[in-house]
Amino acid sequence: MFNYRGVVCSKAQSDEELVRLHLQGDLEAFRELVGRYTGAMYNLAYRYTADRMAAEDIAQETFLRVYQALPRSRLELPFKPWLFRIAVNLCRDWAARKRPLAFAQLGNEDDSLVESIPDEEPLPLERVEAGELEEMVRQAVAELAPPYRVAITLRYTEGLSYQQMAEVLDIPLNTVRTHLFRAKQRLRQALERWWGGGK
Amino acid sequence: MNCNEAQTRLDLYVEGELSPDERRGVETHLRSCPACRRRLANLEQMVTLLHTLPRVEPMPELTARILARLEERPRQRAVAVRPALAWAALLSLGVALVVASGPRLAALWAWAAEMLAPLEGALAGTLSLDLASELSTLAEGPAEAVGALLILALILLTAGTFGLLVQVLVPANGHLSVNST
Repeated sequence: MFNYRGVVCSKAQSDEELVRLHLQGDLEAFRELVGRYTGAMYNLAYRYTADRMAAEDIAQETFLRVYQALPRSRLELPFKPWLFRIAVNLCRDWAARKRPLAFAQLGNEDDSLVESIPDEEPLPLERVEAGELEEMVRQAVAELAPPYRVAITLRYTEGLSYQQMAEVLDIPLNTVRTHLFRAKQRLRQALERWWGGGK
Repeated sequence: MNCNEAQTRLDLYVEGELSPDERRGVETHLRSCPACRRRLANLEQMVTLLHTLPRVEPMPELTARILARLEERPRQRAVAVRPALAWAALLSLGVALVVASGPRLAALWAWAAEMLAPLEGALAGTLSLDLASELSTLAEGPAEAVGALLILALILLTAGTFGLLVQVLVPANGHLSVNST
């Protein structure tokens, strides 16, 4: 058992078991799912929108939609990727309203991994304090385009596989590979600029 | 495998997304290529860094606010209303039969009594195919088949109307509890 934001959560029950209990009328089961995933939904939405208010709205709307949809849904994905897919779609809706080019600007990218990996020494990270390094990475990620930020979040914060990411984002597997590869390249370039700027 | 081929696979190698054969190919190349080993170290370093990326935490009240908003909304009505929908469909089926079947009333009534029992609990939408086939076999000629189809259409229309009324009028009974723990 653990406590997240005042909601007591049990690690013993899987998401799918909680969904089943919820559908059978267990009023606490959905509370526990909300407790488990509020932080993840907010983080994903914030990584996409870079806007705390929008992230809160998207997190709330995600759970409302899931709550309404569950009784008539045949879950094609496990609960977690399904939840993320709903959140990603809400992020896209937000982007379409706010910034119509956010996804269009990535629409014509080549999916092949043609860019070479820099043949350089690894960054001298040992010279940086852990807290400072974390802040550098956080800022470098914040400068990426929204779809790259979402891909980084799904992969490294939420631990989704490439295949699950393709399903969540509704894009081809090769596009997932390209997004992650390019995101990492651009992060490295940002960190190198940081280093070149006096680190 | 040469350097170009290895480079296109190194990222997926680090991510554990290569097939066993491809993985062995990359590892064979790495043993003999210092440049690709450096590239691999770069990629591994970046992945390690990304795993340290912390979540952006919401305000502490967000979970409670979500639960409160869920409390405001009725649970999706499909579950609560399904039995009522089925009963409404059965009722409307009976009414439609009485009103519309005329001289075929006796035969249809006997058929309906036989058909309705196992249908309790079924959704209204599932009635249509079975009814169509049964009615067409009851009909003795083309004219009667047309008449039977008209009856079927009336039945479905009535059932749909009842179903819609029930959706609108019957309150959902499943609210999410938000008692604080």
